[in-house]
Amino acid sequence: MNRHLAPWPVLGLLLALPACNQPFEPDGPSGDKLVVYGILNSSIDTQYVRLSTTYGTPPGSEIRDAVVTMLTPDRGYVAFRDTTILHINAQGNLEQLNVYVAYPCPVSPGSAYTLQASTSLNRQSAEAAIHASASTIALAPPALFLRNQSPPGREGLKPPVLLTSFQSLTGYCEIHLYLEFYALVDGGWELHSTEVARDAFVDGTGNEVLVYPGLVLVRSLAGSSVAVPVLFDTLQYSNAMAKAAEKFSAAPLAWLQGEFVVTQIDSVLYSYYYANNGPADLSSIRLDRPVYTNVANGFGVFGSCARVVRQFRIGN
Amino acid sequence: MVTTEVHPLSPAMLPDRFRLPVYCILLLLLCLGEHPARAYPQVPDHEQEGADIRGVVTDSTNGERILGVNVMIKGTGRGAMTNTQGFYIIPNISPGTYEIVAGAVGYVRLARKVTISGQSPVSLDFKLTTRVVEANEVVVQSEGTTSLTARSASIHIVTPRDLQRLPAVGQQDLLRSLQMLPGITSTSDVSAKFYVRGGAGDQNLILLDGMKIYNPFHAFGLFSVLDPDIVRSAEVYTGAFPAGYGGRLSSVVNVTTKDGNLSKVSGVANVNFLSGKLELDGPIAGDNSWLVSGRSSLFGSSINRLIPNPAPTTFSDLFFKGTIGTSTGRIGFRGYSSSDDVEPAASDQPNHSWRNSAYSGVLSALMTDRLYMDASVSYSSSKITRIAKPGSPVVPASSSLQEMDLKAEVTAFTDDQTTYFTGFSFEFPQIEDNIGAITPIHIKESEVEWYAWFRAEGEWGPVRYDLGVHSDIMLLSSGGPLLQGLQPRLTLSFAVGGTWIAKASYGVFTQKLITVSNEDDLISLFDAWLYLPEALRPEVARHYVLGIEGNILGPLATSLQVYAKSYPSLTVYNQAKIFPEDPDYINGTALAYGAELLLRYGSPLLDLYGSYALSKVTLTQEGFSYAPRYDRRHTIKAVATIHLFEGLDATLQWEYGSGYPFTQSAGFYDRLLLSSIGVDPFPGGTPVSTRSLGDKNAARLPAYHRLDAGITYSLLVGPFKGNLGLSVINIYDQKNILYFDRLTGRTDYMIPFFPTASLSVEF
Repeated sequence: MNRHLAPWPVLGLLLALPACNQPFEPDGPSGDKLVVYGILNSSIDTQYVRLSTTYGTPPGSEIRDAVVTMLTPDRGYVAFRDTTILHINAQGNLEQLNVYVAYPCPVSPGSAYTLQASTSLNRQSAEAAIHASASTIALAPPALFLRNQSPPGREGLKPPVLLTSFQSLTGYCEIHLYLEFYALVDGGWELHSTEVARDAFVDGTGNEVLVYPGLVLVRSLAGSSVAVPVLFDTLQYSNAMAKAAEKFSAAPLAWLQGEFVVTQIDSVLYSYYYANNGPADLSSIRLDRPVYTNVANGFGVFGSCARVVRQFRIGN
Repeated sequence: MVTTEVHPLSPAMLPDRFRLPVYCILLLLLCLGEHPARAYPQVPDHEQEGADIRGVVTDSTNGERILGVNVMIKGTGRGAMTNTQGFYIIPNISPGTYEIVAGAVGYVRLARKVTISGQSPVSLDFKLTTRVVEANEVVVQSEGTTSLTARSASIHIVTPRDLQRLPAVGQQDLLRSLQMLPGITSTSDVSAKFYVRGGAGDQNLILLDGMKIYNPFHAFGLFSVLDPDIVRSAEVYTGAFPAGYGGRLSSVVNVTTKDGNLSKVSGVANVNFLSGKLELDGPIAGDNSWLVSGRSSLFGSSINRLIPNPAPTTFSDLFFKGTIGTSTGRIGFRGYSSSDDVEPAASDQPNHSWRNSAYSGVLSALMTDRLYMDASVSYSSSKITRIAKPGSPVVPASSSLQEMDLKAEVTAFTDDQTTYFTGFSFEFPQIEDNIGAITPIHIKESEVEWYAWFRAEGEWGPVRYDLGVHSDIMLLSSGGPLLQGLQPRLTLSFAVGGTWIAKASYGVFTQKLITVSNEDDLISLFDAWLYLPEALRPEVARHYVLGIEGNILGPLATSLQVYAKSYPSLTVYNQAKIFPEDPDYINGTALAYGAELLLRYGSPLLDLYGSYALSKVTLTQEGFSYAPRYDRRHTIKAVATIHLFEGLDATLQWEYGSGYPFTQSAGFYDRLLLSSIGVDPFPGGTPVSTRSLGDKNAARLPAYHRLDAGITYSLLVGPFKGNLGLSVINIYDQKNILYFDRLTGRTDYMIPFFPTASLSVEF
C-alpha cells in the first residue's frame, strides 16, 4: 500500500461523522391554539360558546379569562360572559359546564356573525353564518300523515308510510317525530312522550332493533327551497303507541299531540359532524379521519342551526 | 345494398382501438420500403462529394456492441457516436486517406486508417479492448462520455464498471446505485423507490431494453429486479429528457442489456447473503447470440435483519434474450419475469405477492444508406395481490396492469451531420384494480395512447442543439392545451473554452398513469397503477435546466447544474376529503428547484466521486402549501475507490442527507363529537382528549448519514475469473430513523451495521 495513504484521515473521518447527529423532536410546541365550540341557534335567544386551549399533557385546560365577542350583521358587538351552567344533554344526563353565554342574543336567520375570542395567549377568530331560515320550514298539515299516503312512485309500499315535507335551504337536517301523551299514574296525570322510530329490524340474536332518525344530507337542495319528503313508517307509529301502552300497562293513556322537530344545521357544522361521526369512505384508500375545523389556526367549530317544532293533534 | 368484403387479414377486422395503429405502421413500412427519400431530408446524389463511413463498434472480448463510442476523423473535427446497436455513420467524407479513432470509457482508444476514393459507403468496424486488460488507467471524462452527455443537460451514463465498485447491501443493484447520482434520493435504506429532483416516486420511466417495468422492486423495495450482471449500460435522464421519451414527469432510466457473448459460451455465477444467481450467454452461429439469467432468494433471514417487522420473503427473476445478426441489422427477442412473495406469520397481516413480466421483439436495421430504423413490439404486465387471511380485518385487493406497445423510430443522417429522429408509439394499457381500504371497488379500464415525435440533433455554429417535439396525439385530439399536446424539448450546448461546455435544456412533459398509494406511506407495499380520473387534468411538468461542465485540473472533472421544475397540474392527495363523494385525489400544483454540483477525480491509484445537491419542492393544493415527504434539502454523496494493486479495489462510500419532512405532534386538545347535534344543538358532551398535529410536514427528521466500505478482489484461475466482495454497511452503526410511532413512541431504524460478502465466478 502506498505510504501516502495513511489510515489516520480515515480514522479521523470515522470519528467525525457521528457528529452529524441531530436530536429528534417528535413533539412540537403545544398549548398555543384555541379550541372553540359555538353553535348559534336561531330558535332561542341565548347563545353559548365553549373555549379551551391545546395542552401538552391531559387533562385539558378550559379558559376562564377570555374575552369573547361576536360581531353582528349591524356591525355591533355582543359580549359573552364566563359562567357555569347545568345542562341536560341528549342522553338525559345533567352536566355542569363552563361556558361563555350571551343573553339576550337572538340571531337572525340568513345573517352572518363573526366570533372573536382573545386570551392572554393569543387572539383567534372564527366565522359562521346562519343559513337555516326558520321561515322557510313548513310542515304539511297533520291530516296528511294520517291518511297513510305513499310518496309518488312508491304506491303500494308495504307497510305504508307517513308522508310530509318541509323546505330546507341548507340541505342538512334531522327530523324527529314525538308523540306526547298523559298517563294516569298514582291518581295524577303525567305528561310523557315517545319517539317514533324511522325503521326497525331484527338482529342476529332475534331482538328487534329500532332505528331512529339521524342527520341526513339532502345536499342537492342546498340553496333552494324545495320540499323534502319525510317518511315515517305507520307501523312504527303504531308500535310507538303500543310500546307506550305497554310501559304504562296498568294506566290509561290520553294522547295529546304529535310533534315534529326539525333541526337544520349549516354546512360548516355538518362537515364537522361528518368528520367526527360519519362513516368512513369504504372504497377510499384512506384510513385516517380528517380533522375539520373552521377556526383559524385552531380547533373546533363555530356553526349555526335552526330548529322548528310543529305539533299536530292526535286522537285516542 | 352495398356490401364491403373484408379480407381476413385486413386491419378492418381488428378492434377499433387497434385499427389506427396498425394502419400507421403499415403506412410507415410502405414509406420506408418504397420511398425512403421522400420521407426524410437527404442531400441529392449529385451534390454528394464523398462517401459515408459507417460501421459497428464491438467489445473485442465478447463481441458486445458498445453504446456511446465516439468515432472521430482525426484532424477534421468530424465524427459520430454509436447508438445502442453500436452503429455509427459519418456522412459525406471527401476522397482521401483518413485516420479514424474510436474511443469510449473503459476501452483503449483504437485508430484505423481508411481511404475514400468514390461515393460508395465504406464499412469500418472497430473492436475495442477493455482497459482492465490492457492497462490500469482511469479515464474520467472521455470523448465518448462527453458526446453522450452533450445530448442532454441532465443525463448520466452508468456502466457495469460503476456498479461493481459501490459497496452493496448483499448484492449490487442498479436502481440503488443510481441513488448515488446527484438529484436522486430515496426515503429509506429499505426502499429502492427513488425520487428525482422533487418528483414523486411514480414519475420515473424505467425501461429494460425498451420494455416498461412498472414495479421494479424485490423484497419490499430493498433492491430492484434489474440484475446488474446483464446490464450493458443505463442512461439516466434526471430532467429535460429528449423527444422519444414520454408519459412520465421526472426521469427516464433506460437500461440496455448485453446481447450475449459472440465468441464463446460464458457465464457468471454469484452467491451472496441474500440470493444466488446464474447467468449464461454465448454464440449460436455467426452473428447470433443468446443470454439467460436467473436469480433466486436464498437466505430470507438476512432480509429480516435489514427490515423492521420482518416477514418471510422470497423472490426470483428470470431474463432471457436472443439476438440474430443480419447483413443490415439485428433482430432480437427478450423476456423478463419476476416474482415476490411476502408471507408474515401474524394472522392480522396479509400476504402480498408481486408478479411482473415483459416480452418484446425488436428490429434494428439500416434500411437505406442513410436511414436506420428501430422497431419493437412489447408487452408488459404487472400484478400485485394482497391476500387477506381468514378472520383478518384486512380486505383482499389486487391490481393488474397489462400493456402492449408498438414503437418505431427512424434515424436519418444527412450530409451536414444533422441527425433526424422521428417515430411513433402506440400504447394499449389495460388496468384492472380491486382496491379500497375497507370495501373493494372494481375498476377496469382500457386506454389507447398515441405518441409521435420528431427530433433534430446537430450543430449550428458553435452551438450544438437537440430539439424536438414529443406529441401526445390523444391529448391533442381531445382538445388539450397545445403546449401539453406538442411537448417541445430543447437542449443547447456550446463549448465555452477548453474542456468547458455550457448547457441549457427545456421540456414539457405529461403523465396520466399514477400510483394510488399515499405519498406519506413509509413503505408502500400496494402500489396500484391507475389512470387519472376523468375529472382530473393530466399531470404536467416543465423542466428548465442550466449547466456547465468541464475539467478543472486534468483528471478532476466537474459539473454544475441549476434547475427549476414547475408542475402546473399535479395529482395530489386530497387532504380536505371529508365526505365519501369527495375525491381521493385533486389537481394541485408544485414547484421544485435546486442545484447540483458533481466532482470526479481519477488517477491510477485513486478514484474520487463527490456530489452535492440542494433541492426544494413545495406542493400546493387548495391554497395550502407543504413540503412532500421526499423533500430533502441538502444531500452529499462521496465515493473513494483505491486501486491497491491489480485486481484489488477498496471503496468507501458516504452519504449525508438533511432530514425529511414530517409532522410533529403538537399536544392535545379537547374534541367534542357533537354526535347528538340533531337532538340537542348545544355544544355539550364530554370532550375527548385528542392528539393534535402541527402544520403538515413543517418539521424535519434528523439528518441521515451512513458510511459503507467494500473490498473487491478479482483473480484469474485458469479459464475462471473469481470476484470476491466484502462489504460493511453502516460502519459506525448510525441510527437513521425509519419510522416513529407517535402513539407508542416506538422508533424503528434503517439498516444497522451489517457485514456482507459475495462471491462470483466468471467463465
